[in-house]
Amino acid sequence: MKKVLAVTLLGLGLTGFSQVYIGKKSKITFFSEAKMENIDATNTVAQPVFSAANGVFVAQVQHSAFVFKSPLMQEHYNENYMESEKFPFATFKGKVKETVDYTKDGVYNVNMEGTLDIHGVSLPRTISGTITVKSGTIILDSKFDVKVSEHNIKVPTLYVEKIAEIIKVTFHTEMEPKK
Amino acid sequence: MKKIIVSLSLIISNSSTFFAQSPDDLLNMVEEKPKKEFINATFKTTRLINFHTVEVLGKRSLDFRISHRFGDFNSGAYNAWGVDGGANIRLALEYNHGTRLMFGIGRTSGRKIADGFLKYRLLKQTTKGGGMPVSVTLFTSVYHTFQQNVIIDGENKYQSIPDRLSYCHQIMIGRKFNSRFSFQLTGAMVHVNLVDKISDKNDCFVIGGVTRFKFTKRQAITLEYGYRLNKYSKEKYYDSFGIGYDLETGGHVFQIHLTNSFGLTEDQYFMYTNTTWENWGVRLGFNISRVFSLQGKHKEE
Repeated sequence: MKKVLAVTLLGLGLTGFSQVYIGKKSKITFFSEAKMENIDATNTVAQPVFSAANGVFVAQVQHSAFVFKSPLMQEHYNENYMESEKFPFATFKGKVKETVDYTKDGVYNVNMEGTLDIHGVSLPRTISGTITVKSGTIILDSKFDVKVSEHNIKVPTLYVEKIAEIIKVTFHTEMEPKK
Repeated sequence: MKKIIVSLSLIISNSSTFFAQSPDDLLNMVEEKPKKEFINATFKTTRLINFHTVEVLGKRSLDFRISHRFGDFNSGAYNAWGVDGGANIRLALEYNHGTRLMFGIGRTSGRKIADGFLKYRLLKQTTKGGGMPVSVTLFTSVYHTFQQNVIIDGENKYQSIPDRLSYCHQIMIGRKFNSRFSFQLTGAMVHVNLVDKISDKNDCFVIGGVTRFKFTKRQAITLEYGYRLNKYSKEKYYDSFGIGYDLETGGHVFQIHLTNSFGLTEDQYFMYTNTTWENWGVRLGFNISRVFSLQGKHKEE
């Protein structure tokens, strides 16, 4: 009996370390700076998932949840550029290269190696960011660029001066352990 | 020993967090309720050719519309097939402050009609997690003609303001079947306060079909047809039928089309279209819609 109890406790203890974190509070923005017009949009509903045991990170971002200042811009983004009915999400699947102790509070500079899938085109990307561990919460911040043409997003010549070739993305998420 | 193995394996098999480490496994852990997602852009704009579509404007959007109809094709080469003389033009400003209810005011040169309308998007088609297969929009409007010196049987036709008024009420049910094809059914009722003859009826009931086929991301072929269900006059009137082409560029939608209706307001084109396709009593026309967003600088929380 004692042996069973000991093993049970050990087993439960093991699950305690393999923590999965979910980012319930996130803010993802992108910014396009072009000669004639600047476009920016924000997504606050994405819920990235992170596994502290092996540093695996996934973020699935819904295009139709990006809020623009003009509803017409939002409509064109989904209908003409992202074709959200065919490709509803932009997804990043990656793994933190560095070994980090997620139980210790601190700020760590990390690089995530993985694939970024936008508009049906999956590209290998290494994205750098900062992980801040603060009282059990893992906060991830990152800034990276997306090249529009690399993801097969077509911009007609008429709008070349309205849409940037390189879009600047900022990523912020606060992840709590999954209960 | 057996007990230990059993309990250990039970624990390990139950602790999904211990073994599920691949990105896809992680994704499956996000317990999200399927969010209701609404369909986007069933039609490119709030009108097809003449007929209204289920679309209303976006939030804080102001639409400036110009609609133009040339004369009849069958006026021949001398009249450049309708380009010379006899044009009808409507200028309008339409606005949506929120998300579902929009209003607009317009003025048409033909018969000098001023119109005002309300359009309400009652139901929106959902893509997933919502179970609504169609969009339903309601429409109501009033038309006031400013024409002077209209004499019938030696008397002034319009003796008071109510004489000058007409109304239209519509219900539109539309569905975006895929990114290329949308179809809408319109049920409309036009009421004219004062008709020309005692034998004329004041009401006309119409069932219409509105469809568009998008062949590139920003271009579409459009078609509309309004079938009148009742006979309301001894004069010859015809069902409104139009074929058109849409081009969307940034904030503008350009529509060019052929239609047998000369009128630009519902009371005129549903009820009093007096030329027919059969003898080329059709006209070239175009609509230009320019949408302005009146939202200020996007303020974050």
